Amino acid sequence: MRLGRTRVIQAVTLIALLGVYEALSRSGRFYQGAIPPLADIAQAFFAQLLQPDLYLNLWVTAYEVVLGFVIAMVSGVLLGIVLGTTPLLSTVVTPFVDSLATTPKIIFLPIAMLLVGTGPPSKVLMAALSAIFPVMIAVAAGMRQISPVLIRVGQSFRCSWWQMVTKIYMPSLRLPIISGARLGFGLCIIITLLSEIKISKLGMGFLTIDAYNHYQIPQMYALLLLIFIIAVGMNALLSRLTAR
Amino acid sequence: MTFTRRSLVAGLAAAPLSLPAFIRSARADDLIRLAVPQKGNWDSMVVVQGDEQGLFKKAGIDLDITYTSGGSDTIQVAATGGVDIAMATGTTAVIGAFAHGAPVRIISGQFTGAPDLYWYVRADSPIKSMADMNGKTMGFSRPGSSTFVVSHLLAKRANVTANFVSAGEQSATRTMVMSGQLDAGWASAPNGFDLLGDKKIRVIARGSEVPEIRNQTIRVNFSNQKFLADKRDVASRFNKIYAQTIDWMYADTKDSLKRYLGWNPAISQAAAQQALSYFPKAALSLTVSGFDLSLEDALTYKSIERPLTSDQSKEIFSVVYAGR
Amino acid sequence: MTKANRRLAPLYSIGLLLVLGAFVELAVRAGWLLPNIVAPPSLVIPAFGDLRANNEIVEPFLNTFFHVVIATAAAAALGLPFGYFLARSPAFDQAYRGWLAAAFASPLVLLYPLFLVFFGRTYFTVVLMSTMVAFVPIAINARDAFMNIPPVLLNVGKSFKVDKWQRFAMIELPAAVPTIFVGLRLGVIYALVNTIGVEFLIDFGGLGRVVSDLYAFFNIPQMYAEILLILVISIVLLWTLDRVQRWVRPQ
Repeated sequence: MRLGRTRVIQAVTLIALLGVYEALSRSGRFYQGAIPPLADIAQAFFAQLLQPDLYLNLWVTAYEVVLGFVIAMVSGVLLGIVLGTTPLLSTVVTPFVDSLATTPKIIFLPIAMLLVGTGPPSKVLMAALSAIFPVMIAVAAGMRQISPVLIRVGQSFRCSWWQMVTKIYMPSLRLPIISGARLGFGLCIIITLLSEIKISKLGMGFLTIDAYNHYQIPQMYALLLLIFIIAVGMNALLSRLTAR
Repeated sequence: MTFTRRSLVAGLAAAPLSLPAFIRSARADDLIRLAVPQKGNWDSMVVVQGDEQGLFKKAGIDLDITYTSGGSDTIQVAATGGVDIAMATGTTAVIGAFAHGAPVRIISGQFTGAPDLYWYVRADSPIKSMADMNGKTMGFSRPGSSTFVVSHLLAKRANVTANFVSAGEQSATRTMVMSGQLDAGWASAPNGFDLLGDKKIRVIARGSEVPEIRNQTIRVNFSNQKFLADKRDVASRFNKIYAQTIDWMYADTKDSLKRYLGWNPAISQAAAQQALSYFPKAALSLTVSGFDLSLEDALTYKSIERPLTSDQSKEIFSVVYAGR
Repeated sequence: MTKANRRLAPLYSIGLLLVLGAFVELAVRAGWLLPNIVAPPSLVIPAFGDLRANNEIVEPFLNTFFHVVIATAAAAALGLPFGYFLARSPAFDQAYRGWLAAAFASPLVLLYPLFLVFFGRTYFTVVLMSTMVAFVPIAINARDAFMNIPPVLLNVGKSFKVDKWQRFAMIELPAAVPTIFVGLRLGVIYALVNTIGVEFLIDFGGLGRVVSDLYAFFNIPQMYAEILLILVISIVLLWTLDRVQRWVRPQ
């Protein structure tokens, strides 16, 4: 029915995209070493799944991403609310927030390592630092759109700050929080992988760049595919958790 | 609005904090945290060979090795104290860092000359040697690197004017050459030996052909000042075992090659054996040679804005083991 | 917020900047902060002079600025209609929504070998990758914007019997503007971060390439100076977007 149509659309799109890739790969017009046929990638994919150390690396990256994300969500929402409730502070601080948001966070990796060492905690810190911005910005923008009527209702009931947050702000912020969360989650994954690529000994990013450096391109694509699949899974989980 | 989210947060935060402890092993020996760029190279993996062979353990040294993707990251992590000793980093880069105030000191040479480098073309290319490279594109990794210097010297020797292109690292270079976007690309043995074996590429020049660089130490091992101040004897022992490991690696190559193959699954046993000829033992000497040349290069390629004073040129060294 | 406060706000921002700068300077001199990691203003300001001497300011700045603008514009041209399409076709929305989120969470940057093969080590590759990355937040927010138009507004339209175009121009679009601009802001940010990131990775292009070189040579003061230029780009672009939003929908 409705679901059936969805699946059909997804299937057709997927087949079309894969078909285009395979055609380009086998056309001979491009260097096949860099765009291997799907069969090679599939083979590498299943070979990877049989490697035991894949799962340790997967666990490390997942832990870094999730913990960083959670930290970013909690602090991002709180900071966004604070910014939203103090308009003067918001106008003063917003340029800095926007500027920091556009700084490539990867340059803070040495600072993160200075603070918490070269292992997984530095990647957690980087992930949190990256994701806090979209959440904070989305929540602050959402705060500006809360109906003043609702706020006055809360004030007339003499709500404490915490009551305002839980009873008035949070229900209205559901959409900004969700959209901020979606984007923040993506950033967590990217910055974690990039940090692992630059300095690490464990993690999916490390595995991927190792494959690339040894020009094992099918393995690299297989790992990226695995990362992609897991990202889809985690996003679906996130959607389920935030759907009410 | 529910706060089951809160319980989720609490649960997630509590559980995996045990992971870092689980990764770090218990240590009764002296711990040295190392940064190694380029996982899998013959020369940069000396410490891993020594570690896995137990040579460091015998001397009471425990190694915690982290891999980085290149010189700048290695310098940053060593300068900020994230690691104690960093391996295989460009001499000019270390000079630059030192000159800009990074608390780093060279503790030994790591690689002298550039025998591991070679330039290749596609098998179907009309280019047969450097003499055919007039007006053709020749790749190097980045400005100021050893590939930059060697490629220019090779062109000068052959009396040709090549079109030099910053192609980036080896995998990107390979893609460019094989896609026809670059005529001659660079590689460091045994990278590319799979293609050589399949006769898909041909070597047109080698780094060993350039005498100017033969006696210049282009990569060094370095440490940060704090580690050397606190644990100088540990660093000294480290260098001693490092030299011993090199001796062991070349004495009986069966085990060292086997490990090397494990890190480089793309190449065959024969290719690994051939790669050894690109890494003469003398190149791995701990002595730092031709430092004046490196100082000149640092100035030419702008890693420093003004020459080092003679005091600085001495201060940058903290050679804890005279080596051989 | 009072009008007086609003006019004073930029002064407060600059004031805050000066305070932060002074704090960093003191912290470095007192030894709390390593100058290797955070360069004090006393080193960063002269660094601009050094950079100008080496022609590392105007050309890389314009280079990156230009490419970010193109990437964002292209992403908007593709993302806004696509978001509207998703909002109006439940079947396609259901099909692609999850993919969009997942594509965004994937490190598309790591696909650069693929781009190198097809498009070479050119500006086209850089801009194309940035367009791809900026497309997603713009499309997601456009979809959310058009999906969440208050029904009361649509009902008013219905009762006035407006046609499809009128409904779009007079009801849907104005209602969607705030969320669309949230998406555009994020699009600009991601285009900039990705452009810098790719330039950093493949050592090619404008400010990202220069930052990469300076990082490699451990020239931290000059590196921070170039980073400040990156911030200037973001401030200019975001301020422009803000102005455009105010013009489109005065509040």
